[in-house]
Amino acid sequence: MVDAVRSEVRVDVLDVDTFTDLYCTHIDAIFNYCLFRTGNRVVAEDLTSDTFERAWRARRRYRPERAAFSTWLHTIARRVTTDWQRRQRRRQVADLTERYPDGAPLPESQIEESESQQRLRQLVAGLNNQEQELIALKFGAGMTNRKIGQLLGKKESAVGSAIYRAMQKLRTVWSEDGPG
Amino acid sequence: MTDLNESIRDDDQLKQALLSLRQVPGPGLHQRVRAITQAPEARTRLALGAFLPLKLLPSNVSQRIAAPIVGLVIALVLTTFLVTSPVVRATLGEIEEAIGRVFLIVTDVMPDSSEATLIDEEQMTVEDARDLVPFQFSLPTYLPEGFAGTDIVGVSIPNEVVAEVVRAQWHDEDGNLLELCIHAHADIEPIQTIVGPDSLEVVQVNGSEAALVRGGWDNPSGEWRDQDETITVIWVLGDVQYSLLSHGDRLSIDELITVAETVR
Repeated sequence: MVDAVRSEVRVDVLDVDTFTDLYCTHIDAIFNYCLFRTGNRVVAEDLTSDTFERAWRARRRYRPERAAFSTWLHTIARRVTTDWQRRQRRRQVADLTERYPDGAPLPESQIEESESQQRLRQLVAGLNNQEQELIALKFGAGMTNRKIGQLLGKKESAVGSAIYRAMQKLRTVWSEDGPG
Repeated sequence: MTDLNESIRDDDQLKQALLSLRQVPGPGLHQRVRAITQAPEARTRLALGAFLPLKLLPSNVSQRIAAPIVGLVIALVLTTFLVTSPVVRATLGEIEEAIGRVFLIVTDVMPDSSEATLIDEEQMTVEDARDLVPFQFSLPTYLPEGFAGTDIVGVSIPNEVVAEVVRAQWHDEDGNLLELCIHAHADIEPIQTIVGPDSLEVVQVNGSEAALVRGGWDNPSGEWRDQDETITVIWVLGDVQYSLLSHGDRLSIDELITVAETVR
Protein backbone atom coordinates (compact mmCIF):
# COMPACT_ATOMS: atom_id res chain seq x y z
CA MET A 1 0.00 0.00 0.00
CA VAL A 2 1.06 3.57 -0.55
CA ASP A 3 2.65 5.35 2.36
CA ALA A 4 -0.46 7.07 3.68
CA VAL A 5 1.40 9.67 5.67
CA ARG A 6 3.64 10.84 2.88
CA SER A 7 0.79 10.91 0.40
CA GLU A 8 -1.01 13.39 2.62
CA VAL A 9 1.84 15.88 2.57
CA ARG A 10 0.60 19.38 1.86
CA VAL A 11 2.53 21.26 -0.74
CA ASP A 12 2.64 25.01 -0.99
CA VAL A 13 5.08 25.46 -3.82
CA LEU A 14 5.61 22.88 -6.53
CA ASP A 15 9.18 23.60 -7.47
CA VAL A 16 11.43 21.09 -9.18
CA ASP A 17 12.77 19.57 -5.96
CA THR A 18 9.34 19.22 -4.41
CA PHE A 19 7.90 17.79 -7.58
CA THR A 20 10.73 15.25 -7.78
CA ASP A 21 10.08 14.15 -4.20
CA LEU A 22 6.39 13.84 -4.89
CA TYR A 23 6.83 11.90 -8.08
CA CYS A 24 9.02 9.39 -6.24
CA THR A 25 6.26 8.98 -3.67
CA HIS A 26 3.38 8.63 -6.09
CA ILE A 27 4.70 7.07 -9.26
CA ASP A 28 3.98 3.51 -8.12
CA ALA A 29 0.39 4.33 -7.23
CA ILE A 30 -0.33 6.24 -10.40
CA PHE A 31 1.32 3.65 -12.61
CA ASN A 32 -0.57 0.76 -11.05
CA TYR A 33 -3.84 2.66 -11.15
CA CYS A 34 -3.31 3.14 -14.89
CA LEU A 35 -2.23 -0.48 -15.26
CA PHE A 36 -5.40 -1.73 -13.61
CA ARG A 37 -7.51 0.57 -15.78
CA THR A 38 -5.86 -0.30 -19.07
CA GLY A 39 -4.45 -3.79 -18.56
CA ASN A 40 -1.47 -2.77 -20.64
CA ARG A 41 1.90 -1.94 -19.16
CA VAL A 42 3.05 0.12 -22.12
CA VAL A 43 -0.11 2.22 -22.13
CA ALA A 44 0.03 2.54 -18.34
CA GLU A 45 3.54 3.96 -18.57
CA ASP A 46 2.42 6.45 -21.20
CA LEU A 47 -0.56 7.54 -19.14
CA THR A 48 1.55 7.82 -16.00
CA SER A 49 4.05 10.01 -17.79
CA ASP A 50 1.19 12.07 -19.21
CA THR A 51 -0.31 12.47 -15.74
CA PHE A 52 2.89 13.82 -14.25
CA GLU A 53 3.50 16.04 -17.24
CA ARG A 54 0.05 17.58 -16.90
CA ALA A 55 0.53 17.99 -13.18
CA TRP A 56 3.81 19.78 -13.75
CA ARG A 57 2.30 22.09 -16.35
CA ALA A 58 -0.69 22.82 -14.14
CA ARG A 59 1.31 23.16 -10.92
CA ARG A 60 0.56 26.86 -10.54
CA ARG A 61 -3.12 26.05 -10.37
CA TYR A 62 -2.71 23.45 -7.65
CA ARG A 63 -4.45 24.67 -4.51
CA PRO A 64 -3.20 22.80 -1.43
CA GLU A 65 -6.05 24.17 0.64
CA ARG A 66 -8.51 22.33 -1.57
CA ALA A 67 -6.96 18.88 -1.74
CA ALA A 68 -3.91 16.84 -0.88
CA PHE A 69 -1.40 16.48 -3.67
CA SER A 70 -2.23 12.79 -4.03
CA THR A 71 -5.91 13.58 -4.53
CA TRP A 72 -5.09 16.21 -7.12
CA LEU A 73 -2.71 13.86 -8.91
CA HIS A 74 -5.26 11.06 -8.97
CA THR A 75 -7.84 13.46 -10.35
CA ILE A 76 -5.50 14.12 -13.26
CA ALA A 77 -4.74 10.41 -13.67
CA ARG A 78 -8.43 9.59 -13.78
CA ARG A 79 -9.01 12.19 -16.44
CA VAL A 80 -6.05 11.05 -18.50
CA THR A 81 -7.19 7.44 -18.28
CA THR A 82 -10.79 8.26 -19.05
CA ASP A 83 -9.72 10.23 -22.11
CA TRP A 84 -7.66 7.25 -23.27
CA GLN A 85 -10.57 4.87 -22.74
CA ARG A 86 -12.91 7.12 -24.68
CA ARG A 87 -10.49 7.17 -27.55
CA GLN A 88 -10.19 3.41 -27.42
CA ARG A 89 -13.93 2.99 -27.48
CA ARG A 90 -14.21 5.34 -30.40
CA ARG A 91 -11.66 3.35 -32.29
CA GLN A 92 -13.38 0.11 -31.36
CA VAL A 93 -10.28 -1.56 -30.08
CA ALA A 94 -11.43 -2.08 -26.55
CA ASP A 95 -11.49 -5.84 -26.99
CA LEU A 96 -9.01 -7.35 -24.62
CA THR A 97 -7.66 -9.55 -27.35
CA GLU A 98 -6.58 -6.47 -29.25
CA ARG A 99 -4.86 -4.60 -26.50
CA TYR A 100 -1.49 -5.00 -28.07
CA PRO A 101 -1.76 -3.25 -31.40
CA ASP A 102 0.08 -4.22 -34.52
CA GLY A 103 1.31 -7.45 -33.09
CA ALA A 104 3.60 -5.64 -30.70
CA PRO A 105 5.24 -8.05 -28.31
CA LEU A 106 3.97 -8.19 -24.79
CA PRO A 107 6.11 -6.33 -22.31
CA GLU A 108 8.41 -8.77 -20.61
CA SER A 109 6.97 -8.24 -17.18
CA GLN A 110 3.50 -9.07 -18.42
CA ILE A 111 4.62 -12.22 -20.12
CA GLU A 112 5.92 -13.30 -16.76
CA GLU A 113 2.46 -13.11 -15.26
CA SER A 114 0.86 -16.48 -14.74
CA GLU A 115 -2.16 -17.42 -16.78
CA SER A 116 -4.27 -16.98 -13.68
CA GLN A 117 -2.99 -13.48 -13.12
CA GLN A 118 -3.67 -12.61 -16.72
CA ARG A 119 -7.14 -14.04 -16.37
CA LEU A 120 -7.79 -12.06 -13.21
CA ARG A 121 -6.57 -8.90 -14.93
CA GLN A 122 -8.99 -9.60 -17.75
CA LEU A 123 -11.83 -10.12 -15.31
CA VAL A 124 -11.03 -6.76 -13.72
CA ALA A 125 -11.05 -5.18 -17.16
CA GLY A 126 -14.46 -6.77 -17.73
CA LEU A 127 -16.02 -5.01 -14.77
CA ASN A 128 -18.14 -1.99 -15.46
CA ASN A 129 -16.40 1.36 -15.39
CA GLN A 130 -17.31 2.25 -11.83
CA GLU A 131 -16.30 -1.13 -10.44
CA GLN A 132 -13.06 -1.12 -12.37
CA GLU A 133 -12.31 2.36 -11.10
CA LEU A 134 -12.80 1.31 -7.50
CA ILE A 135 -10.67 -1.82 -7.84
CA ALA A 136 -7.94 0.19 -9.56
CA LEU A 137 -7.92 2.84 -6.84
CA LYS A 138 -8.05 0.30 -4.03
CA PHE A 139 -5.64 -2.36 -5.23
CA GLY A 140 -3.75 -0.58 -7.98
CA ALA A 141 -3.19 2.79 -6.33
CA GLY A 142 -3.40 1.34 -2.84
CA MET A 143 -5.76 3.98 -1.55
CA THR A 144 -7.87 3.69 1.55
CA ASN A 145 -11.65 3.72 1.28
CA ARG A 146 -11.62 7.13 2.91
CA LYS A 147 -9.25 8.58 0.33
CA ILE A 148 -11.23 7.02 -2.48
CA GLY A 149 -14.35 8.59 -1.03
CA GLN A 150 -12.68 12.00 -0.96
CA LEU A 151 -11.56 11.59 -4.52
CA LEU A 152 -14.92 10.43 -5.85
CA GLY A 153 -17.09 12.57 -3.59
CA LYS A 154 -18.66 9.55 -1.91
CA LYS A 155 -19.00 8.36 1.66
CA GLU A 156 -16.34 5.99 2.91
CA SER A 157 -19.00 3.42 3.78
CA ALA A 158 -20.48 3.61 0.28
CA VAL A 159 -17.03 3.08 -1.20
CA GLY A 160 -16.48 0.04 1.02
CA SER A 161 -19.80 -1.47 0.02
CA ALA A 162 -19.19 -0.87 -3.67
CA ILE A 163 -15.73 -2.44 -3.50
CA TYR A 164 -17.17 -5.41 -1.66
CA ARG A 165 -19.81 -5.88 -4.37
CA ALA A 166 -17.19 -5.60 -7.09
CA MET A 167 -15.09 -8.24 -5.36
CA GLN A 168 -18.06 -10.56 -5.02
CA LYS A 169 -18.65 -10.13 -8.71
CA LEU A 170 -15.04 -11.01 -9.44
CA ARG A 171 -15.20 -14.09 -7.24
CA THR A 172 -18.43 -15.20 -8.88
CA VAL A 173 -17.07 -14.84 -12.38
CA TRP A 174 -13.83 -16.49 -11.36
CA SER A 175 -15.73 -19.49 -9.98
CA GLU A 176 -18.15 -19.71 -12.89
CA ASP A 177 -15.45 -19.74 -15.53
CA GLY A 178 -13.23 -21.91 -13.40
CA PRO A 179 -9.48 -21.80 -13.59
CA GLY A 180 -7.74 -24.22 -15.81
CA MET B 1 5.19 -14.97 -10.74
CA THR B 2 2.21 -16.15 -8.74
CA ASP B 3 0.03 -19.10 -9.57
CA LEU B 4 -3.50 -18.30 -8.50
CA ASN B 5 -5.08 -21.48 -9.78
CA GLU B 6 -7.84 -22.54 -7.44
CA SER B 7 -6.42 -20.27 -4.77
CA ILE B 8 -9.18 -17.67 -4.69
CA ARG B 9 -11.52 -19.14 -2.18
CA ASP B 10 -12.34 -16.14 -0.04
CA ASP B 11 -12.07 -12.38 0.00
CA ASP B 12 -8.64 -12.34 1.59
CA GLN B 13 -7.27 -14.55 -1.14
CA LEU B 14 -8.88 -12.38 -3.77
CA LYS B 15 -7.32 -9.29 -2.19
CA GLN B 16 -3.92 -10.94 -2.27
CA ALA B 17 -4.48 -12.00 -5.84
CA LEU B 18 -5.41 -8.45 -6.85
CA LEU B 19 -2.40 -7.01 -5.07
CA SER B 20 -0.22 -9.51 -6.91
CA LEU B 21 -1.19 -7.75 -10.14
CA ARG B 22 0.74 -4.65 -9.12
CA GLN B 23 3.93 -4.12 -11.01
CA VAL B 24 7.00 -1.99 -10.61
CA PRO B 25 7.38 0.90 -13.07
CA GLY B 26 10.34 0.44 -15.35
CA PRO B 27 13.43 2.66 -15.29
CA GLY B 28 12.37 4.18 -18.59
CA LEU B 29 9.26 5.63 -16.98
CA HIS B 30 11.29 7.14 -14.16
CA GLN B 31 13.55 8.78 -16.71
CA ARG B 32 10.61 10.16 -18.64
CA VAL B 33 9.00 11.65 -15.55
CA ARG B 34 12.27 13.13 -14.33
CA ALA B 35 12.74 14.77 -17.72
CA ILE B 36 9.40 16.56 -17.45
CA THR B 37 10.72 19.29 -15.22
CA GLN B 38 13.68 19.87 -17.51
CA ALA B 39 11.70 20.35 -20.71
CA PRO B 40 10.72 23.79 -21.99
CA GLU B 41 7.26 24.63 -20.87
CA ALA B 42 4.41 24.69 -23.31
CA ARG B 43 1.02 26.26 -22.86
CA THR B 44 -1.98 25.49 -24.95
CA ARG B 45 -3.64 28.69 -25.92
CA LEU B 46 -6.35 29.93 -28.17
CA ALA B 47 -6.01 33.23 -29.94
CA LEU B 48 -9.37 34.78 -30.48
CA GLY B 49 -10.44 36.77 -33.42
CA ALA B 50 -8.40 38.09 -36.33
CA PHE B 51 -10.06 39.30 -39.36
CA LEU B 52 -10.08 40.62 -42.71
CA PRO B 53 -13.20 38.77 -43.44
CA LEU B 54 -14.88 37.12 -45.11
CA LYS B 55 -13.32 34.49 -47.26
CA LEU B 56 -14.33 31.18 -45.86
CA LEU B 57 -11.83 28.48 -45.36
CA PRO B 58 -11.48 25.89 -48.05
CA SER B 59 -12.29 22.41 -46.90
CA ASN B 60 -9.71 19.73 -46.24
CA VAL B 61 -6.92 22.17 -45.83
CA SER B 62 -3.82 21.67 -43.86
CA GLN B 63 -3.68 24.92 -42.00
CA ARG B 64 -0.69 26.87 -40.94
CA ILE B 65 -2.19 27.90 -37.70
CA ALA B 66 -1.50 31.40 -36.56
CA ALA B 67 0.60 32.09 -39.57
CA PRO B 68 -0.07 35.44 -41.12
CA ILE B 69 -3.56 35.01 -42.34
CA VAL B 70 -4.27 37.83 -44.67
CA GLY B 71 -7.57 37.01 -46.19
CA LEU B 72 -8.21 34.08 -43.97
CA VAL B 73 -10.90 34.43 -41.46
CA ILE B 74 -11.97 34.64 -37.96
CA ALA B 75 -12.77 31.00 -38.20
CA LEU B 76 -9.20 30.07 -38.75
CA VAL B 77 -7.89 31.95 -35.81
CA LEU B 78 -10.59 30.66 -33.59
CA THR B 79 -8.95 27.32 -33.94
CA THR B 80 -5.55 28.79 -33.42
CA PHE B 81 -3.45 27.16 -30.79
CA LEU B 82 -0.11 28.58 -29.97
CA VAL B 83 2.71 27.09 -28.08
CA THR B 84 4.99 29.71 -26.71
CA SER B 85 8.12 29.52 -24.67
CA PRO B 86 8.38 31.13 -21.24
CA VAL B 87 10.59 33.78 -22.80
CA VAL B 88 7.91 34.72 -25.28
CA ARG B 89 5.28 34.65 -22.59
CA ALA B 90 7.28 37.01 -20.48
CA THR B 91 7.32 39.58 -23.24
CA LEU B 92 3.59 39.60 -23.66
CA GLY B 93 2.79 41.55 -20.55
CA GLU B 94 -0.25 39.41 -20.08
CA ILE B 95 -2.80 39.06 -17.32
CA GLU B 96 -4.59 35.81 -16.59
CA GLU B 97 -8.34 36.04 -16.00
CA ALA B 98 -10.97 33.49 -15.09
CA ILE B 99 -14.66 34.06 -15.75
CA GLY B 100 -16.73 31.17 -14.53
CA ARG B 101 -14.73 28.20 -15.76
CA VAL B 102 -13.34 30.07 -18.75
CA PHE B 103 -9.65 30.94 -18.55
CA LEU B 104 -8.31 33.84 -20.53
CA ILE B 105 -5.14 35.79 -21.02
CA VAL B 106 -5.55 39.53 -21.58
CA THR B 107 -2.71 41.15 -23.46
CA ASP B 108 -2.19 44.08 -25.77
CA VAL B 109 0.32 42.18 -27.85
CA MET B 110 -0.85 39.65 -30.39
CA PRO B 111 0.71 36.25 -29.77
CA ASP B 112 3.81 35.57 -31.79
CA SER B 113 2.77 33.46 -34.73
CA SER B 114 6.31 32.39 -35.51
CA GLU B 115 6.04 29.63 -32.95
CA ALA B 116 2.74 28.38 -34.23
CA THR B 117 2.05 24.71 -34.47
CA LEU B 118 0.43 22.92 -37.34
CA ILE B 119 -3.07 21.61 -37.17
CA ASP B 120 -4.72 19.57 -39.85
CA GLU B 121 -8.44 19.93 -40.08
CA GLU B 122 -10.85 17.54 -41.70
CA GLN B 123 -14.37 18.24 -42.82
CA MET B 124 -16.90 15.64 -41.81
CA THR B 125 -20.51 15.16 -40.83
CA VAL B 126 -21.62 16.01 -37.33
CA GLU B 127 -22.33 12.34 -36.78
CA ASP B 128 -18.79 11.34 -37.77
CA ALA B 129 -17.37 14.09 -35.60
CA ARG B 130 -19.30 12.78 -32.63
CA ASP B 131 -17.82 9.35 -33.22
CA LEU B 132 -14.32 10.74 -33.53
CA VAL B 133 -13.81 13.25 -30.76
CA PRO B 134 -13.34 12.09 -27.15
CA PHE B 135 -16.04 14.36 -25.74
CA GLN B 136 -19.75 14.72 -26.21
CA PHE B 137 -20.89 17.96 -27.72
CA SER B 138 -24.10 19.69 -28.69
CA LEU B 139 -24.97 22.21 -31.35
CA PRO B 140 -27.49 25.04 -31.02
CA THR B 141 -31.07 24.05 -31.62
CA TYR B 142 -31.92 27.60 -32.61
CA LEU B 143 -30.31 29.79 -35.24
CA PRO B 144 -31.34 33.37 -36.00
CA GLU B 145 -33.44 33.77 -39.11
CA GLY B 146 -31.38 33.85 -42.28
CA PHE B 147 -28.48 31.84 -40.95
CA ALA B 148 -27.92 28.53 -42.64
CA GLY B 149 -25.32 25.87 -42.48
CA THR B 150 -24.69 22.34 -43.47
CA ASP B 151 -24.26 19.11 -41.62
CA ILE B 152 -20.52 19.45 -42.11
CA VAL B 153 -18.15 20.54 -39.37
CA GLY B 154 -14.39 20.91 -39.24
CA VAL B 155 -12.47 18.77 -36.79
CA SER B 156 -8.85 19.49 -36.01
CA ILE B 157 -6.76 16.38 -35.97
CA PRO B 158 -4.99 16.15 -32.64
CA ASN B 159 -1.26 16.01 -32.27
CA GLU B 160 1.02 15.99 -29.26
CA VAL B 161 0.16 19.60 -28.53
CA VAL B 162 -3.40 20.17 -29.56
CA ALA B 163 -6.50 18.15 -28.84
CA GLU B 164 -9.59 17.92 -31.00
CA VAL B 165 -11.53 21.06 -31.84
CA VAL B 166 -14.89 20.90 -33.57
CA ARG B 167 -15.87 23.95 -35.61
CA ALA B 168 -19.29 24.62 -37.03
CA GLN B 169 -20.20 27.64 -39.16
CA TRP B 170 -23.35 29.27 -40.34
CA HIS B 171 -23.71 32.41 -42.40
CA ASP B 172 -26.38 34.52 -43.97
CA GLU B 173 -26.68 36.05 -47.42
CA ASP B 174 -25.07 39.29 -46.27
CA GLY B 175 -21.89 37.56 -45.22
CA ASN B 176 -22.52 37.68 -41.50
CA LEU B 177 -20.89 34.78 -39.76
CA LEU B 178 -21.81 32.70 -36.78
CA GLU B 179 -19.25 30.17 -35.66
CA LEU B 180 -19.10 27.70 -32.82
CA CYS B 181 -15.83 26.15 -31.68
CA ILE B 182 -15.94 23.25 -29.27
CA HIS B 183 -13.20 21.48 -27.39
CA ALA B 184 -12.70 19.46 -24.24
CA HIS B 185 -12.25 21.43 -21.05
CA ALA B 186 -10.39 20.48 -17.90
CA ASP B 187 -10.38 22.79 -14.90
CA ILE B 188 -6.97 21.50 -13.92
CA GLU B 189 -5.51 22.22 -17.31
CA PRO B 190 -7.72 24.62 -19.18
CA ILE B 191 -6.99 25.98 -22.60
CA GLN B 192 -6.39 29.69 -22.26
CA THR B 193 -8.01 32.05 -24.70
CA ILE B 194 -5.89 35.06 -25.61
CA VAL B 195 -7.83 38.29 -25.93
CA GLY B 196 -7.06 41.98 -26.26
CA PRO B 197 -7.36 44.71 -23.64
CA ASP B 198 -10.70 46.07 -22.45
CA SER B 199 -12.57 43.37 -24.28
CA LEU B 200 -14.07 41.27 -21.49
CA GLU B 201 -17.47 41.26 -19.84
CA VAL B 202 -19.20 38.74 -17.64
CA VAL B 203 -22.52 37.44 -18.91
CA GLN B 204 -24.77 34.53 -18.01
CA VAL B 205 -25.47 31.50 -20.17
CA ASN B 206 -28.19 29.35 -18.68
CA GLY B 207 -27.46 30.77 -15.25
CA SER B 208 -23.71 30.19 -15.33
CA GLU B 209 -21.01 32.78 -15.74
CA ALA B 210 -19.61 33.11 -19.23
CA ALA B 211 -17.09 35.40 -20.88
CA LEU B 212 -18.23 37.90 -23.47
CA VAL B 213 -15.37 39.08 -25.67
CA ARG B 214 -15.59 42.06 -27.98
CA GLY B 215 -13.19 42.12 -30.91
CA GLY B 216 -10.44 39.96 -32.29
CA TRP B 217 -6.82 39.99 -33.41
CA ASP B 218 -6.03 41.62 -36.69
CA ASN B 219 -3.22 39.56 -38.01
CA PRO B 220 -1.32 41.92 -40.24
CA SER B 221 -1.23 44.71 -37.69
CA GLY B 222 -1.20 42.57 -34.57
CA GLU B 223 -3.82 44.86 -33.05
CA TRP B 224 -7.00 44.03 -31.24
CA ARG B 225 -9.80 45.39 -33.43
CA ASP B 226 -13.39 45.37 -34.54
CA GLN B 227 -14.90 45.49 -31.12
CA ASP B 228 -18.20 46.61 -32.56
CA GLU B 229 -18.44 43.93 -35.22
CA THR B 230 -17.21 40.82 -33.50
CA ILE B 231 -18.55 39.40 -30.30
CA THR B 232 -17.84 36.01 -28.82
CA VAL B 233 -19.42 34.32 -25.88
CA ILE B 234 -17.35 31.58 -24.23
CA TRP B 235 -18.72 29.18 -21.68
CA VAL B 236 -18.09 25.72 -20.25
CA LEU B 237 -20.76 23.08 -20.11
CA GLY B 238 -19.67 19.96 -18.25
CA ASP B 239 -16.29 18.97 -19.62
CA VAL B 240 -16.66 20.93 -22.84
CA GLN B 241 -15.88 24.54 -23.68
CA TYR B 242 -17.90 26.37 -26.31
CA SER B 243 -16.97 29.60 -28.08
CA LEU B 244 -19.77 31.14 -30.13
CA LEU B 245 -18.64 33.99 -32.33
CA SER B 246 -20.69 36.45 -34.32
CA HIS B 247 -19.06 38.63 -36.93
CA GLY B 248 -21.02 41.27 -38.78
CA ASP B 249 -23.80 43.61 -37.86
CA ARG B 250 -26.66 41.18 -37.57
CA LEU B 251 -26.71 39.87 -34.03
CA SER B 252 -26.99 41.65 -30.71
CA ILE B 253 -25.37 40.27 -27.59
CA ASP B 254 -28.76 39.11 -26.35
CA GLU B 255 -29.39 37.24 -29.58
CA LEU B 256 -25.99 35.60 -29.41
CA ILE B 257 -26.63 34.49 -25.86
CA THR B 258 -30.03 33.18 -26.91
CA VAL B 259 -28.31 30.96 -29.46
CA ALA B 260 -25.72 29.90 -26.88
CA GLU B 261 -28.41 28.91 -24.42
CA THR B 262 -29.86 26.41 -26.89
CA VAL B 263 -26.62 24.42 -26.79
CA ARG B 264 -27.53 21.83 -24.20
